[in-house]
Amino acid sequence: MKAARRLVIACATVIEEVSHLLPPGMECRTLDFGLHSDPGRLRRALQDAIDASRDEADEIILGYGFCSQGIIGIKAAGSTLVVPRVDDCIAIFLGSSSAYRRQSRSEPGTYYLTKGWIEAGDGGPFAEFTRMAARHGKKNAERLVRLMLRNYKRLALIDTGQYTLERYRDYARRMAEQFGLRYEEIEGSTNLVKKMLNGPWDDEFIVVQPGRAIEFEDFFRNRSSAS
Amino acid sequence: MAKEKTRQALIAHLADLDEGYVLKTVRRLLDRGDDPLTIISDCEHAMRLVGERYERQEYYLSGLLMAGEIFREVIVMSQPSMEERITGNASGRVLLGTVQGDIHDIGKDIAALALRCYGFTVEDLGVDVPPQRFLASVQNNPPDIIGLSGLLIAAYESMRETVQLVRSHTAPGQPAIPFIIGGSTLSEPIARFVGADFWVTDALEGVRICQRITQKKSPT
Repeated sequence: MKAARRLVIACATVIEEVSHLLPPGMECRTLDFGLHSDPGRLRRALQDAIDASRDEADEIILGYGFCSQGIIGIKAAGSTLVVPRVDDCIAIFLGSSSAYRRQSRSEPGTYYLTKGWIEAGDGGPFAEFTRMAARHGKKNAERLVRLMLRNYKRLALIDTGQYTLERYRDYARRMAEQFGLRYEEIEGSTNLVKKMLNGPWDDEFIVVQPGRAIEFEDFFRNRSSAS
Repeated sequence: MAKEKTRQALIAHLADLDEGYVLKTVRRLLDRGDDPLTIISDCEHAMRLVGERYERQEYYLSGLLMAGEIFREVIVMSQPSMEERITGNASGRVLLGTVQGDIHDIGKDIAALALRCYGFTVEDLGVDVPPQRFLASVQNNPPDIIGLSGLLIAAYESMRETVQLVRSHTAPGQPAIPFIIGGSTLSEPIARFVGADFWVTDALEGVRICQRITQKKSPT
């Protein structure tokens, strides 16, 4: 039997963790990280990328999570879709949903960073700071970033072991210091990425047959606060 | 005519995020006795323009936040004049909080301020509030409405847990307290998952719903 042709479509931040682990011959496409702040745009871009890959793959692996519902409604006419059953990419970097929950419970006010987030301009308060400072002055920029980070206590740089942290550590430490956050490095994992690329696609994944759309319920089925 | 021109200028400057102009103008309008509700309503109009600019990608997230911050300052400035105008019974009592596992409260705080402006009594439990604390507060002093706020997915589950816990302690025959959930990432399927009666992505829409609920309760 011929092996299924697999294609990965992932967010630019996730690609950083995926590219080293791609099995030989598996193709990978990257979508802009900035899409994450606009779920409607993310949905359209993702659907366009899937439609453009028609007939190229039997199985399309999506390097995304629920991502503020950006993934909901996505379908592929001729391919099976596979997506990790996670809230967002932080769970992918930490290796599982349960690892993400453990981190969130220990400190709900955590801002997470990875190499991918930093290189993509992080899209969050720190990138906004640079943009705001240029447009509205440093004082206003500081005020808004502090507003965005209100109640945040910790800045956690995730070490997935895929690259040296030195450069990113400097940036993350600097941001933590500037905005009064406790700096921590936390251990990530490539477990979920490896499973995503190679299987088995167990309960940690949503597998959607060709023609069916990814639904809200796929993410929230059997979900309880104890999990 | 001059008044109309001032109103249009206020709307335009808030939409342009011109904090200095907006605050100076609002101060002047309040000092000369203009209706604070008209000022707030004009600012709401400007906030809608800001939202449209964000959707057209003319503004980034920081633009939305800046507008929210100016609007918050306008509400704070208007509050004393609003309180002078509110007579008789308060509009109702709202219990608010950002649910357990979430710490985002910009929308909740704007909702709390605006609710107070419209005569509601607000008990704000803060952020990362466990379901049991909501329940304790309901049992101690039952509100007319419960507002649960949150941005993260973890919040959806906490919202659901809170709704279920409070409802499971509602005595038979006792009217159920309506739940409104608020947060910029919410949607109809999430509201169904949570079991909420209403959902909003906009703090001021939440205030309107509170007004409709309490008006229905006491049609005087």
